[in-house]
Amino acid sequence: MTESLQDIKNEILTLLPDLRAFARSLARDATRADDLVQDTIVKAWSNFDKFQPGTDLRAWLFTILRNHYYSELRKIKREVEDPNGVIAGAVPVAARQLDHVALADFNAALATLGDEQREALVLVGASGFSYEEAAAICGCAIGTVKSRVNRARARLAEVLALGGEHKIATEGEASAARGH
Amino acid sequence: MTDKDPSAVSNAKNPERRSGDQKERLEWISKQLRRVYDDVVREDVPDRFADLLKQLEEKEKGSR
Repeated sequence: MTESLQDIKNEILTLLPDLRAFARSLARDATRADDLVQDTIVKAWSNFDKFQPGTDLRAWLFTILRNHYYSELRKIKREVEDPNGVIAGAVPVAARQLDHVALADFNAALATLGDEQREALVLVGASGFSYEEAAAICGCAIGTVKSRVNRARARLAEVLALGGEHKIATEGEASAARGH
Repeated sequence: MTDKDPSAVSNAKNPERRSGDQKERLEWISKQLRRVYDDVVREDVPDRFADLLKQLEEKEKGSR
């Protein structure tokens, strides 16, 4: 490794806002998301000899973070499965104009996506990775990422804009789905 | 609780709009997604991370 510790530290610092946003999209709960970021930093630091200079540090950190998220998820699956149906029950439906769909409803709709779909959607649609980069981060084929993104978008469109047949989430339910 | 949300009426009046709105809807979803994400990006990063990195750096310096 040719970079100084100071450089590595500074690079990680500049990537933190992005890492936190990605972690939040996976874990939803803000505290849990920041714990994920913290663990990611520790793992990245102790494995920095495995980072290939010249490759994208951001993608490397994202990969560590999502792999850690899934391994934690397997460990604590019971807690995450939403036993009370709080998240599942908060599916908003809205036969409303798009402008009137609250951010809380959008977050609740995001929460109804499976982890793999949400992760693909966020990596491509918000973090700005290419399909190819997202596929490398998720350890799957490019076509798989494309289809997950498409299904995620279709599902959100369905949940948010079909309307009439489901109940509208109350603010309380939507907040619960955001994990606050 | 009633079966139908009263706001569904506006859509029911314009059923033909629904498929035409698909593209607009998908664009709106992309916009909202980035908004949700960027809201977190713009948050102040908690001090715990800078503290942690400083600790890691000092530990590494000490071990050399």
